[in-house]
Amino acid sequence: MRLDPLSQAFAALADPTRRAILARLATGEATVNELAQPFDMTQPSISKHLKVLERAGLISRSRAAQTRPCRLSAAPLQQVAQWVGTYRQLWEDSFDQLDALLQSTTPPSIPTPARKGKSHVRKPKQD
Amino acid sequence: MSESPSKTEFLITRRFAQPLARVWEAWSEADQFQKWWGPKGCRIDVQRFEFRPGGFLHYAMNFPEGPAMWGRFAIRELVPRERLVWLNSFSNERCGIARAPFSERCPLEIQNSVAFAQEGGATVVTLRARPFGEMDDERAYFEELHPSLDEGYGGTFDALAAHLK
Repeated sequence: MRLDPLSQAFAALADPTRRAILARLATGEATVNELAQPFDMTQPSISKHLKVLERAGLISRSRAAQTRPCRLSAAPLQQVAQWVGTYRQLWEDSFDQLDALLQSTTPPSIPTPARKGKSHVRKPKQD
Repeated sequence: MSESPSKTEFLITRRFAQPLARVWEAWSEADQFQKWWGPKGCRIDVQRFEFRPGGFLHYAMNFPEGPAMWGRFAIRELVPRERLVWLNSFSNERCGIARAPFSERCPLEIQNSVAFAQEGGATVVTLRARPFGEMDDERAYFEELHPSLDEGYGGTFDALAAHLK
């Protein structure tokens, strides 16, 4: 399923390395080398994080210079920061999904296999 | 809730074509709930589903990229097919309360109150949400960051960048 921009930003922000990269970029643009230094990480793994941030629209990278410096993009971060906007998106998404679920399932007058009083336990698969 | 609306309160109403009993079932049963609740593109895995006052709903939010984030509902009031009130927060994987992974100042808990009403064969769901027990600093976070797009990104963004760490 394609992620909406807000979910993409959330997913990108969930990782501490990526938050640290953003905090660094908040002080000004930087190259991959400069970003890799404080993290004790290889360039390819920093590049992977940068790709996630770029796809989420949180940073942009210059095509002009060979070092392709990264810079922060404010708009999606601002969207995440706006609590009311975030909450509206969450509930609009959820209600759309609820609507789809209600339309696709049988009405309660037709009995479905009962599963009462049991708390649902399922191990999440980590992606 | 009788307090006057503030700029930190959020209200959303949705009408569903199905009867109230059916809509309530989608909220009150774990396997249905996890199919619809949450942002698009996020897979919810319910770990704990105690649908009663004082109970917790605890879930993992799995995005295609990045680690799972955890969240919980702490249910405060529950009148079947009528009303549901809970405190929503981020959590750790053991259902303990946790700060938002992206901000220190985002209020710890949001109180959600939902009213369910049958109208003919349809159901109207009205949700109100507001920060709960927020500290002054957390309130300021809302007020500073409340949408005021005309003012541009400057202040908002600086405030956020400072709290990303």
